[in-house]
Parts: sequence; structure tokens; C-alpha cells
Amino acid sequence: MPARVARRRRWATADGGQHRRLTPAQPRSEGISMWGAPSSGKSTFGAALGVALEKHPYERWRLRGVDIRSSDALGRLQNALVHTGEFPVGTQEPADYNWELVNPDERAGMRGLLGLTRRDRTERIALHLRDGPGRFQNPDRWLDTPRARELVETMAACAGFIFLYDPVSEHTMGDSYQHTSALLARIDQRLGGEPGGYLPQHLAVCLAKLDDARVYRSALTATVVDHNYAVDDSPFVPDYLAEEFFARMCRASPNPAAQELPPKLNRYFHPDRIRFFVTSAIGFYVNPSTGRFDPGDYRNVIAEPGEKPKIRAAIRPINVMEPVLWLAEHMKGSQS
Amino acid sequence: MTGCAVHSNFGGDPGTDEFFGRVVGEAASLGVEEVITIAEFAPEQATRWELSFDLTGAPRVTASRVPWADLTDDDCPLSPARLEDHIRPVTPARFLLACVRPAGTAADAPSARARQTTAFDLATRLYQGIPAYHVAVPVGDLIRAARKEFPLALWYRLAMLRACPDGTLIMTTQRLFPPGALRGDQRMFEIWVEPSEDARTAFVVLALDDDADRPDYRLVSVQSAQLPPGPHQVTATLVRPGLVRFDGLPGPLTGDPRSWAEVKAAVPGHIPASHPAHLVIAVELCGPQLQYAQRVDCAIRLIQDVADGARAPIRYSLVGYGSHVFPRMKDEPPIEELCWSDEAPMALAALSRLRNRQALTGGSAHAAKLECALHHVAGRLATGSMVDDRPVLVTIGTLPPFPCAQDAGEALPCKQGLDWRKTVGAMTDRHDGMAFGAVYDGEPVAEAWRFLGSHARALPAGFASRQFAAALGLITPAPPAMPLPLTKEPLTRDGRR
Repeated sequence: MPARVARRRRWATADGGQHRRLTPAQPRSEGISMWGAPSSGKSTFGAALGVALEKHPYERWRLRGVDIRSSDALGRLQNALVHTGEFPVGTQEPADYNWELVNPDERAGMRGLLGLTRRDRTERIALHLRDGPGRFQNPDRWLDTPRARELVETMAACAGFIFLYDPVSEHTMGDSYQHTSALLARIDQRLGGEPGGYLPQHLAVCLAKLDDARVYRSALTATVVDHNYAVDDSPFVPDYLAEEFFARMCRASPNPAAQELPPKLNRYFHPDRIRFFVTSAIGFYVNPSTGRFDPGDYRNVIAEPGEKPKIRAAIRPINVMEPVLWLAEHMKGSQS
Repeated sequence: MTGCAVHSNFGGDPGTDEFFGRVVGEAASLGVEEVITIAEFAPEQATRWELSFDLTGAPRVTASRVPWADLTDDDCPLSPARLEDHIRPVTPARFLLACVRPAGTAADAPSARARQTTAFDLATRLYQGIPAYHVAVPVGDLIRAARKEFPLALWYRLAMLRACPDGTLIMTTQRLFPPGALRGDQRMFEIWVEPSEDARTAFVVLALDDDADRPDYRLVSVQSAQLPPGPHQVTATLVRPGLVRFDGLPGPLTGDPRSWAEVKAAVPGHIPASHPAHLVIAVELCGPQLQYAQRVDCAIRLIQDVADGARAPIRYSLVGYGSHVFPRMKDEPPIEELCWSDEAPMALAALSRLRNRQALTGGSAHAAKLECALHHVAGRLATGSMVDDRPVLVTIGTLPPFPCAQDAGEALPCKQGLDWRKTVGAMTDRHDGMAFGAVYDGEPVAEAWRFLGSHARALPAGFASRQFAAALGLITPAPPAMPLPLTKEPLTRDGRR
């Protein structure tokens, strides 16, 4: 047996060697790449992720920009979400942000008992946000552009993907399958035949915009909604019901091609490396006077005719931080 | 009929006076279908007079004259049979014979005078026991003079209408003159003339026979005049049986060609009712300036028309409302109570100020705070109002109310979580007869506006305010023709005049 293959099999024993199941190889990078159809809310998700991490009482992760452009963009997006209550939508500039998730090591630089300076164990995970083809571009032709080739290279090098599926946008455009299918095929081609036949990355499938009235009512109809009674009664879809709801929403798309998305994702990614989340970047409206969720008044978006949508109150991201932390956890586990 | 002491004033001739008095006396006691027959024996002719009263109590006199030459026979200068045929009475008990003494010397017509005397003697023999008189004046002149002394034989009444408290109209009569009334008798009374599309008020005098088994009115006269609405003092004068004059009216009475049946057929079944009301107008204050101004104009026209046309007291209230403002850091204009339970001039002044303002901006374009305005009105009607009149709510706007809870629409729920259905339901439960009118130009017509326009609905463009107010019962529609006077001013339903 060639040494390379033996090494891969040893790495692939996820449960301490009791099973010798073949799993995909690890990518070269530790980064996370986010993709989704145009207007699926990638920028909003990214900005909300930074806010969610900062608001979390226990997590120490935070989001930072790697370069000036990305750092400014992150600040601008977060300011829009938190301060002015605007969505980062309608921008003509393609999103091309290099962010980094940072889990600081509080004791870095401190001296130990032996007088040795402690090694900096700060965790850093790159988070790449790239726009795919524009709304009016043919994805197949777009893949031949230099920008697309760069995106494929970046994604192929990442260890985890966040796939944003926007059922509201999908209901209007019905293009999620087209964008996803072409991109996955190109990444698969770029990575070549990996052992196990799966792509090596972890995939967090995020069904976005749970706060939208149509999505929320669908979730209620599907009886997949639970409530966060410990905090403010806000609804959420538990992870163990997320895949079922995702499949249901794909079936609800006017384009029947969307029904093929769940099986396609399951073909490309190892079952242990794919997980579903139902997310909301801005969350539900919670009446400030009561501090509790009101099922009769929950929309956090002000949509007026002829105006850009606005955020009504403070954002309360739902399942925005969790996919990233899950990816980070598994990426760390895979490399240890 | 009652008797009366009369004098003929024909020179003091006893026979003439006695005859005159007898004629008047007989007429006073004459029944409806009886006839007084008078056989007059004049130097030139024999005349049979028939004196009776028609169905309206007016005297009727006919004369049948026959020269003496026509009463001759082949072998006799005066035929008894022909004479009897000519003077035979209609009612034997009411028969009088009168021989007229010639005014000059009878030398120029001795044969005629002889026939007059012969005929009179023959008649007295034929009708023994019948009063026979020698008079100095022709009977025709005496009857003409006696007619002036004839008393009224029947009741004379004026046809009128009486309005019941519920507005129903009932035919009734005003007593004018009783049987036995004489010329020149007068009676004063009051009438009420109702506003009417056809302003001619008919004065219909009816005769009524008291002796009849059931009331049997007969038309005496129909006259009409164009009278202003309101009360009028009228003096009726009996000119003679069959003719009544009415004085004290602002306009002259003229002959009316309508029959009694036509006048009766023109009487409406009831007077359109008009009740005291509390008109509450809720005006949407947001939207394009043109629409806003149009709404204010609609409110102004409605109040003006109601103030002009209402026959019952109306109080006016105005409430303005905008839209909820959801974006952060923006103030929301409150519900504006522009006036409450005021008179029309106050409401019009408030609307005039409103017209000079700019429409509210910055709120949601999906809906307006109609549910909050309704809640405000319901609260004021329930507690804050001193007016217990029937509320009439008129809403003028374009946008639907905010939902009380998130629905499938784009509008966010009302900030107060108010439900227009509950508010409107509470108002209708609390206030009997509450009416709802909507001046609405939104498309599609929202459910709330359909309900708010349940009694009257109109578009702001070409707003027909009078019809709108009439549909809400604020003013009566064009008053129907009221051909007869009313006994008095009709009562409103709540007993107020």
C-alpha cells in the first residue's frame, strides 16, 4: 500500500480506529467559503454573523477583515444592520470579502510555571465571501470567466462551505439549482477523484429568511417550529428538523429543479459532513416593551412600496453563528 | 235644521213677509232629498219653483214657467188637469201656493188676471190645507232674497293630514261650520304646511251629513295656494252654503283643477323621518396632497349639505388619522380630534384649517391607522360624549386599516394591536341604529371599507354629498308632494319637534 494512501486511511478513522471507513481527504486550507444564488443574503448573513458572535455571552469568536477593503465592508455592513436598519442589498459591487473568524487565546504570551512564554493558540479560520454569477448571467458561461476560476480555486481550497438557500428569492427566480449545480461540478472537477467519491469539505446548508412571513408560516404548517422560551420565545427550527424543512421548501419552489438540490448535495458531500440549519440573519421582531416574541406581530422587516426594505428593530440572528461554529469545530477535529 | 226669525224687507206687506218667513223656515228644516215646491200664480204665467239642497248643502232652485195661454183647453180657458200637472209638488208636505198681486192696474190685461185668480182658486181647492199666500213681490225675487237666509244644511270640514309620531300620515278633517251656520260665520284655526317638492297646498272643503250611518264626505270646493312651509293662521268664512273663503294666507287661493280623488292619491304614506344625529367624520390625513385635499373637500361638502338639509339637530365631530410609522427614530403623528360634538360652523372651521395643511408623510403606505381612529371614536362615543343621539360614522380615506395581527399582506400589524372588527362590533352593539358611510377610493375595496360603507358608499371624485347624507338618514331626500295642510307640525320619533 502506498504510504500516501495509508496515511489518508489513518486520518480517516474518525472514531479512534474502531472502524476503518474511507472518508474524503482534507482540503489544503482551513477556510470557509460561503456561496448561494444571487440575492440569497450572503452579505447580510456575514454581517449578522459578526453581530451574533459579538452578542453571544460565552463564545469568544469574532469576525475581522483580513484586508482593508474587507474590514471596511464588514464595518459598513454591520453598521447598516445594527444602526441604520438597512439591508446590504441593491449594491452593484460584487461581494469579494476575505474575513477571518478569530478565537483569541487569552493566555497567549503569559509565562508558565517553568518561566516559558505560552505559545499563542489563537484560532483563525478564514471566511471567504464571493459572489457567484450575477442574476442575469448564464452560470455556465460565467464559469469560464477569470473571476469564476478564482472562485472555484478559493472554494476548492476551503475546508467548509456555507450554502445559503433563500426560499423567498427561489420562489421568484427559481435559479438555486442552476447556480449550485454548475459550481459544484466545477469544484468536483478541480479537486479530482477523491477517495470515497465525496468532496472533502464540510457543508452547512442554511435555509435562510425564517423571519419572512411566508417561510415562517411554512415552518408552522410543517410543524417544525420550536420556541426559545429561555430568552424571548422567538421561534426557531431545531437542527434535527432542518433537513426535512429544507427538502420541503425545495419542493415548494415553482421550479421543480429545486427538488433535486437535496439529493445533489447528498451526492457530493459525505453524510457525516453535511448539516442543515434554518437561519435568519435579522431574526423576528420582539416588542421592546414586553421583550417577548408576539406571534401576531413578528415581522422585523419594513417593506414599503418604492423603498428599500428596512429593519424594524434590533436584529436577533437565528442560527447564524451555529453553522460557522459547527464547521470550525469539525475542521479542527479533522485536523487534530 | 234650526229655525230663524227673518224679515223680507219687501215693503212691510204682511202676506209677503209671512210667505218669506215660511220659505226660510221650510228651507231650514228641509231634508237632503226633500224639495220645497212653490206654485206661483202671476198675472202672466204660472210658475212652479223647486227649491232644494244639493249633496254639498248648497241651495238649488229651478223654475218652470207656463203662460196662461198654454193652460187652456179646447172648451175651457183654464184646464184644471193641465194646471195640476204643472204645479204638482215633489214633496207634498212641502208645498206652498203664492198668488202675486199685480204691481200696476190690471186694466190692460183683464183676461190674464182673471185666469190668475181662477187658477189660484182652483189650486187652493185642489190642494186643500196647503198654505196659500198673496204676495206683493214676484216669488223669484223672494226666493233670491231667502237664499241669503238659508242656513248650512251639512257639516263643512276642511280636509287635512295628521302626522303620527312615526311619520305616518292619516287623513283627517278640520271642522269649519256645523249645520245651521249662516253666511258670514267665521272660524279661525292653525295649519302646518310641510316642506314639499310640489309647494301647492290644496284647501279641500268637504260636506258631511251627520245623519248618515257612516261618514260620507262630499266635495264642496278645491282651491290651492303656494304657501311657505311652516304654521299659518287661517280664517274660514262661510260666504254661502257651497262657498267658503279662506283668509290669512300669504298667497292667494286659486281654483284647483284636481279632483278630490287626485288630491287623495297624491298624499304620501308618511313624512320622511329625520332624527337627531351625531355625525362623526374620520378623515385620512396621509397620501398624495391631491387626494388629501379631495377628502377634506368631501367632508366640507357633507357637513354643509347636512347642516342645510337636516330637519333634526345634528352634532358634528371630526377625527383625523395618518399611518403608523415603523422605521426607527421616527415620530408618529397621533390621532387628531379636530372637533367633537360641535355645531356645523365649528366643524367647517376645523376643516378649513385642515385644508390649508399638508398631508402627513413618512408613514406606512400599506395601511392607515383607521383601526386606531375607530378605537378613538368608539371610546369618545362611549364615555366622552354628552350627545346621546344616533351616531353616524363617515370615514373618508384610501388605505385599509392595519391588521391586528400579522397576516399574509405586506402591512405590519397595528402598533397597539387594535382590531377594527372588534371596535366596529362594539360600537354597533352599543349604539342602536348607528349608521356607517364610507367615501373610499382604494382598490381593491378592503373588507373594512366594505363594512364601513354598509349604509352609504361613494367615491371622492364626483361625491354626491346630498344623496350620501340622505342614505345615512341625516337629511330626508327630496320631500314628497304634500297636497294638504297638516293639523300641526309633525313630531320627530324621539318626541322632539
